[in-house]
Amino acid sequence: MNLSPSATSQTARRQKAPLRHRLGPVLPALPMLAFLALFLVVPLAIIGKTALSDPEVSAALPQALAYAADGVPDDAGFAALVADLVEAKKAGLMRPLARRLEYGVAGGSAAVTDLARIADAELAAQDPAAIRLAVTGSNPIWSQPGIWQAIDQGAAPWSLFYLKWALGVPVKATPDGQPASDGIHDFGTIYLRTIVISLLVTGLTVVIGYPLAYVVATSSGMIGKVLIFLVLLPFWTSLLVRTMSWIVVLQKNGVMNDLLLAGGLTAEPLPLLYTRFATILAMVQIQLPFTVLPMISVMRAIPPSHVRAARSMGAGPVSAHVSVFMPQAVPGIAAGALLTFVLCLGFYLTPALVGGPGDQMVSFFIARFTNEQLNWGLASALSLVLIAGATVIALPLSRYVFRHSSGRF
Amino acid sequence: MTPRRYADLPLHLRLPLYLFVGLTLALLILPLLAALPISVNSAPWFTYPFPGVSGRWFKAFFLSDTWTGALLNSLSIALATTVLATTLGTLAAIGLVNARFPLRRLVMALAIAPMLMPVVVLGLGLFIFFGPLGLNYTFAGVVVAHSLLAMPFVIITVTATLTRFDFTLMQAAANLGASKTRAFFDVMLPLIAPGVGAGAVFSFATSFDEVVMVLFIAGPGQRTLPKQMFTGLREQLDPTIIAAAVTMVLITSALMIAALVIAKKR
Repeated sequence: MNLSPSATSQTARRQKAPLRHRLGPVLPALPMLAFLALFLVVPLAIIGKTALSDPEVSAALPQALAYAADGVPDDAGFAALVADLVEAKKAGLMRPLARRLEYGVAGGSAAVTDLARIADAELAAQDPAAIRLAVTGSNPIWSQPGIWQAIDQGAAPWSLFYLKWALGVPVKATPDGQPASDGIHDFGTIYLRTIVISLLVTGLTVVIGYPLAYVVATSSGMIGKVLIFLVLLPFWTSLLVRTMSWIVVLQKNGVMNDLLLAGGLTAEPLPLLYTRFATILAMVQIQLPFTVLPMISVMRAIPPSHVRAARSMGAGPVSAHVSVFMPQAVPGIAAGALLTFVLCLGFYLTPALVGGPGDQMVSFFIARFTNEQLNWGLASALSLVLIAGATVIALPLSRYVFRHSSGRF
Repeated sequence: MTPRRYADLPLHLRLPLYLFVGLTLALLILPLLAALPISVNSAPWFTYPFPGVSGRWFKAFFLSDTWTGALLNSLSIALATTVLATTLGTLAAIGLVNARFPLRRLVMALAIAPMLMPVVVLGLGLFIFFGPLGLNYTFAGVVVAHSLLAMPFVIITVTATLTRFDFTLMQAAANLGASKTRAFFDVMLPLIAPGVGAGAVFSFATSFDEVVMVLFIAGPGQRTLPKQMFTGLREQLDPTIIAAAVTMVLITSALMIAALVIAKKR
């Protein structure tokens, strides 16, 4: 090793200076980093925590828990239950407990409120057999195994209860302890629907968008400018306004039905709005620019000489396009399709406004469980499944897009 | 005749191609072209031709306290969002264009993430987080939520202009004795202003159009124009909603055109 003095001092300086040197570029970004940490990372972590936390039962029934493991307990279990409830009433834990037990067993909420009405210090002081009689008298569900299973289910303050629920595992039981479907929400169907609608919209935007992107990318001068403006115009227009315009056009006495009637294509107005058709149509129109723009930027970079060369070697116009142009456009197609697919998975507004009850996707149920049913645990679990699913589906494709984008997007 | 890049596509292929593309463009544009003019229909229905043209729905819009209140709420929230998102985003972009930024790709991905994530998920997270902080149903809460969605646009547009910015100019300013702040305001900001302006316009438009976050976080005091429209659309379509939509589009377009004109002048 024969380092010259200047080289060693440079190395030394590079090692001494680095902290200020390295932190230099970070300084201006600090406010944004703090903002993102506080309002993006923390809320996402809170969603994870909310999905896994299940505190109501263990907080309200600490003693009764010990008796709930094997179905309906003996008299001592009933005494513990009443003792717990007397305390829970004082601490204001009744209502959360009632709601949580209803998630686990049909009639759980009524059982808790009925029991709360009679549970007081006087009852707690009686002998266990009398307590048992009073409890089962308040609501016969207490003599059946279902509600005790539900209590056992919530024994730990952290559980997979909401995640299982969100993944479609039956978590609710009938009073006699048999699995009961919650009847209203078949999450498997909802995920499948979300994926099918997203795939369909993505596929349609690719098929419809490819010729458009080709023409825009190969037009020059004024025509090219006008075309790109026409693609960008709806892109810039408010999402809500575009969705509204579909309601105006597709409703029963709207423009589309008016045209169909005038053209004699139908004898009476068709129910176009609040259908799967309306949902897909509106989503395709809204997402088309997202799919097309990356395609255009990739297609513009394809040298025209390649196709000309293929043609001069005797390839027909179609085969020159398919074998020379299209393969080079694939990274753009993949980027546009990926973007549209990922955005479609999270769509809320458009299906909520132009779709029917059978066209709602995961986002709709997250919003509904949050705002209407106040079931934040389930809403958070659904969010986790949605994000995890989107990541798993999109990650391989995004790797491909990143490898071939070379910083173009 | 302008030289066509692919003069080799024969007519029998070009015609159906242009026809198809024309139909696609019609799909993109026609719904808006069909819906928005209905705001000046003198009759309360939604088909053509109109019996007459009238400003009654705009009058109804601007004379209703609910609608004008919503418009004012939207404007103030959008302005506050624009200031917050543009400031944070511009500063962040200055840091992020530097190749020495540690974990640059990861931070960039994190900064862009709000654009790709389901807004409902972000809304849920913020709603639960804001509860104990008392930020739900407040102006500040909505502005924070909107800024989260708007910031990626600023970062993207400003980063794009910064890649063409010559950083030796900052060195020159420093050599001439300017402080970093002075150099930023006197040298860098004027040169990257088009990107900052575009980011600001996108921020404004994002907030001005946003409805999902508002459904989660806003209270009656932050009833915005999109929220009012959303509620109206879920109940009964009323031409006043279309007038509201036209007002919204006009305000956003005016801003975009202004930004474009200013950027062109430079």
